[in-house]
Amino acid sequence: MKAKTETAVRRHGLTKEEKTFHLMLLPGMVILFIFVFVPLVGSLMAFQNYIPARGLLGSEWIGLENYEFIFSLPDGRQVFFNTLIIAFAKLVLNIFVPVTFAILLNEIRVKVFKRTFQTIVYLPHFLSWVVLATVVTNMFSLGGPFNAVISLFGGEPIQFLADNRWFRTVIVGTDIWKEFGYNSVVYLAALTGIDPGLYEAASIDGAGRFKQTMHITVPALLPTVVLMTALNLGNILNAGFDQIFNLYNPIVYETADIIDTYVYRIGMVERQYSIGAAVGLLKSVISFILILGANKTAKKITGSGIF
Amino acid sequence: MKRKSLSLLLAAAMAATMLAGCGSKDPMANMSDEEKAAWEAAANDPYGKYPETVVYTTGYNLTNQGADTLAGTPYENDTPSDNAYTRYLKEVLNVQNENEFEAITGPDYDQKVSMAIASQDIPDIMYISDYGTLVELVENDLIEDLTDVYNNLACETVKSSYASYGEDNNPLNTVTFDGRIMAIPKTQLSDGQDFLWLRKDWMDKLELEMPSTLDEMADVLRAFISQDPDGNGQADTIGLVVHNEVYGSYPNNTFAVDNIFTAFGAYPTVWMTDESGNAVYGSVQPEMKDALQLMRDWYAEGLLDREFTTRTYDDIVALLSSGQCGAYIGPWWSPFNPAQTSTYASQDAEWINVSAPTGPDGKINAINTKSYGGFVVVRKGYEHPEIAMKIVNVNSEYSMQDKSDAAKEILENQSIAYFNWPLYCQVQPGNNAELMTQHVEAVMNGSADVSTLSTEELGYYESAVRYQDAEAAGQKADSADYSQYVSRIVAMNRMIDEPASFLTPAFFETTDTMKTRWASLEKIEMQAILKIIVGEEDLDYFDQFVSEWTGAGGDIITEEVNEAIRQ
Amino acid sequence: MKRKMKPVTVISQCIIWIIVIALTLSCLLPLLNMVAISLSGSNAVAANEVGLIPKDFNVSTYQKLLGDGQFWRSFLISIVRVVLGTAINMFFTVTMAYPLSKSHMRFRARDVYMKVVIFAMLFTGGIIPLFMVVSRLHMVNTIWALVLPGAVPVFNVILLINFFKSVPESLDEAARIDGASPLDILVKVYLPVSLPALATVALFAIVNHWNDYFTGLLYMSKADMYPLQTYIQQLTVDMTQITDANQLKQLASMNNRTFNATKIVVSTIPLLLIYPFLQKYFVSGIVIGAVKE
Repeated sequence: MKAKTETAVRRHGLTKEEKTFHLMLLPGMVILFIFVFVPLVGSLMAFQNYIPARGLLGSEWIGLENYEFIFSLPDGRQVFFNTLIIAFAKLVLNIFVPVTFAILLNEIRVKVFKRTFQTIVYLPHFLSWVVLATVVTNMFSLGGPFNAVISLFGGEPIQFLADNRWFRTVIVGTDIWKEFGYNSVVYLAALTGIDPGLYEAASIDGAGRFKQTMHITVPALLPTVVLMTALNLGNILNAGFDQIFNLYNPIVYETADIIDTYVYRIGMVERQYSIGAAVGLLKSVISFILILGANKTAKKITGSGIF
Repeated sequence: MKRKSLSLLLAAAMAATMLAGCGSKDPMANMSDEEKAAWEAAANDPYGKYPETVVYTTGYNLTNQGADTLAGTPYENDTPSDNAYTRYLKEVLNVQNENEFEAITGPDYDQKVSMAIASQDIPDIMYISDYGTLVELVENDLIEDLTDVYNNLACETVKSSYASYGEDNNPLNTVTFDGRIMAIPKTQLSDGQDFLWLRKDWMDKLELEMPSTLDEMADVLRAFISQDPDGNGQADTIGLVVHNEVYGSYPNNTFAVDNIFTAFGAYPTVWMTDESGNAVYGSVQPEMKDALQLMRDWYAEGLLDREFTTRTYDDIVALLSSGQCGAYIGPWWSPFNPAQTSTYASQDAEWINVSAPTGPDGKINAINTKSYGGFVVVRKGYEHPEIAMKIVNVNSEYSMQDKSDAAKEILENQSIAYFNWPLYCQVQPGNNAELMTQHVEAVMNGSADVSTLSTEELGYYESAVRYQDAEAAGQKADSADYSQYVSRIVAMNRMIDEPASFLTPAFFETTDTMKTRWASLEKIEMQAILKIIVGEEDLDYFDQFVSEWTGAGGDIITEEVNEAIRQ
Repeated sequence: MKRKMKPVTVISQCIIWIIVIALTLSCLLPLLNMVAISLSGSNAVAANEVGLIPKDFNVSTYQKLLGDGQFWRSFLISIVRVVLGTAINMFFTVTMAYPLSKSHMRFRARDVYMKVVIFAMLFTGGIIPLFMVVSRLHMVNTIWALVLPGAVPVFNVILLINFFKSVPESLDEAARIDGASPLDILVKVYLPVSLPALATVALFAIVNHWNDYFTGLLYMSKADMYPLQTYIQQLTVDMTQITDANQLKQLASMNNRTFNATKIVVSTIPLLLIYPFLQKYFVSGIVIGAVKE
């Protein structure tokens, strides 16, 4: 009976439930309109030579000149590639490591330790890269622990942060180290959703811990993993300005220089609102396409989208 | 409905103007002739005090607070609108600041300025830090012409200070647009030449001669790394620490080694004039190659810090503080650096500044800095533009000579370093630091009386005396006194006695193409230079760098710079 | 917790413990180093001599930081901001996530909304236009400038949508047959079973508000209105040009590593204190099963 009325109403207008839904979304949409969509007019700067004193209306329109400039940069390709490779490695590992950690932690059943471990690993997230830079340079210096291990095995010492073969690895590694604890929170929350009955049943069936993990825990985490991957695609062109800015030096520019550090240095010569806006807009568009694309692909494969 | 709100708005606007009118807009209207005369007189006297308090809006530059705060001082309740500086200005001129924004000097403050400009809401008087913003304000007709104000009111100190920079380098040139003075420039003190700072206690121990030439300098560094100056039995000493921005922003880039390059007649990052009178970019001149050859050799030999490319500033300070290194290049005020204060206190280190490395004429080759820092501008249409000039007068002259308690309060505040003058602009002669040292020394050797010192100089004098007393008594002086004495007296004396040959750059600002291309060119340059020094590339790679640099826009920019100079 | 421990798993348990402890230690040591630095003399720190134990023990940087009246003013502003901001964030997160967690069969406009929301997550107009909007609304120098522009945390909304989606349809169905309104269902059915997810997004909201220094800098024109992180981050000394005597004096105190460490320790402690209250919802593992039954 209920279903009948629903289909009947569907043709003519909103269901009662839909009306409530629209009303619930209204306040949030108003906020988004005022604080996201109205200021978006500012993206038009990307097509201007924006000068604050003239305002958005008074500044000169230059069409795609800013983009022509960006694409004409001699090292543009290198910078784009660096950004992509660092961000991609971070994207993958920032999901893999926290998920693994969450699963491992979940296996520890002494509650006090579980909580303590979890609290400690969550803390590095709050250290800024300015502060960590000194720690990291010391760790990877010639006299640091990593080189001590290398020389223990009779290897040649490596200046990790001045070596184009190593710099990106160090960047990705230290970022994962800093964030895995904080990133694991969301997976831990997802783990709580697993019905303990499933494990009991499996264990009665004789499945070992490993089997249980592979057949119950991992599939249960999968939707969250997919979701986080899709959301993080939005950051595929953000390779982590603060970190790289505090750790790089000209010798590793060819592997370390990313879009954000490059734009920053352009801005240091003289503030360039338009270039910044143009790059920002481009990044947003690419992210948007990627995310929608991921959603569509997921829909094709699994029948339901990510979002 | 729309109309209704519009009329309401109009009414409100009118009420606002009327209210403003009562307060300050047209104070002359209902005044007796006497009162009018009093206002006129105040406005036309460099130090005239207004009959009533004039409130001006401004942006307040706070200094970096560092680890110091006002807590526990008599000034702990001071605010950016009520502190020693603002109280003093109120007492002397009867002007009061109302801050539309407050922020720490530097990017934070600059951002507030940009926001104010973007929202078309700039304060009556404000300080701006960069030339680009000044040009923008001038071109868009947002600021007041200060030509008359300057001509009528600038005090002697301000005028002579500007003149002291010489005709070509006069800060007023920068703010003059079509013959009109559009802003009051803040002067940038000359820091003179950089020195080689050495651990004298190590030199004495190893019985080394004070170096002068590059070869002599290399000998000292060689001794430092091979003869165990710290006596710990290990060969763990580093020769010369080097900033990974090897040169540039002379001389404020402590640990940069511009002097090694200039000793060869190479002036990296500087726009210099060549024999034919054209401006050329120093980093791409052939002299660079000789300097790079030496840097390569020194690096290979271990005279330079092997890991200099990855050291942060803190890392370098740590090397010096822990006694792992006893040589660096830095300006006369280096004794304020924690590297020196901490080794002075904990290791009996004795630092000395040496005129090395020198060029063929036996002098350090140094680079003149630009003569201006930021600018004070006045909003177009503000009725008291003269206040800007009068405050700068007080900052630069009146307060310096004033011996009243109020002026002392300012001096005390300087050592706490939280507030600045509401307009962050003091005008001083380029060689101000030298002059002050000479005054202080005159008192110290008895040829002048203490009363001849300005309030600021008095502070330095007292520090120096405390340092000498402590040392004479065989004790360690307070680290602040150490810094003052070794920099203002010891280092400054060498600067006066052993003058450097200075090169004045032909051009300081940015051209149009620079705005977009410079980051790219800088990248090419720094990459090439570092790779050549550490041996990742051959010396001949320099030629490839030069042609790359030229092709990536360097030639256009050089053309633009020459064009700009001709104008 | 009812899971039984099989003997085979003892070895794998050991391995797991070793890995987890190693990872935890790798995070703990730099933190202890930070605490030790904050409690050491600045000379020892400048010379890189401090490891895990403070050298020349002193608490002067703590006295300086905590002794400043502005510290506590800013602290209070931050507390107000976190409480108000998180409440607002949670309100919008929940009211938006619930309708959007329904399929487009039940809520036909859903996919359109979803696109709008994702769009809003990725695009920004830059700081100048945003500042102008906030300033036209007369919110500059008010707490609203700190909490309203970011009132809808899109990332969190999407997270919660995902969690809501995983709630069994049957619960929803049963309540609807009982005639409950969507709001009733949200409050009485969905929220109770989503505590781990709610705790997660609340944590993200709290951390965001607490750590954000930039909006404070942008929207507060007076230093005494700065929230804590804004206040704290501008206490650092960045000396690029020495132009007057004031700056020389500051250079003497420029090695701020002890002070920086103190700032981090002090500003992280509040987050450490509230953490266990949220943590218990996502680290225990039995909450939801019990409710579901």
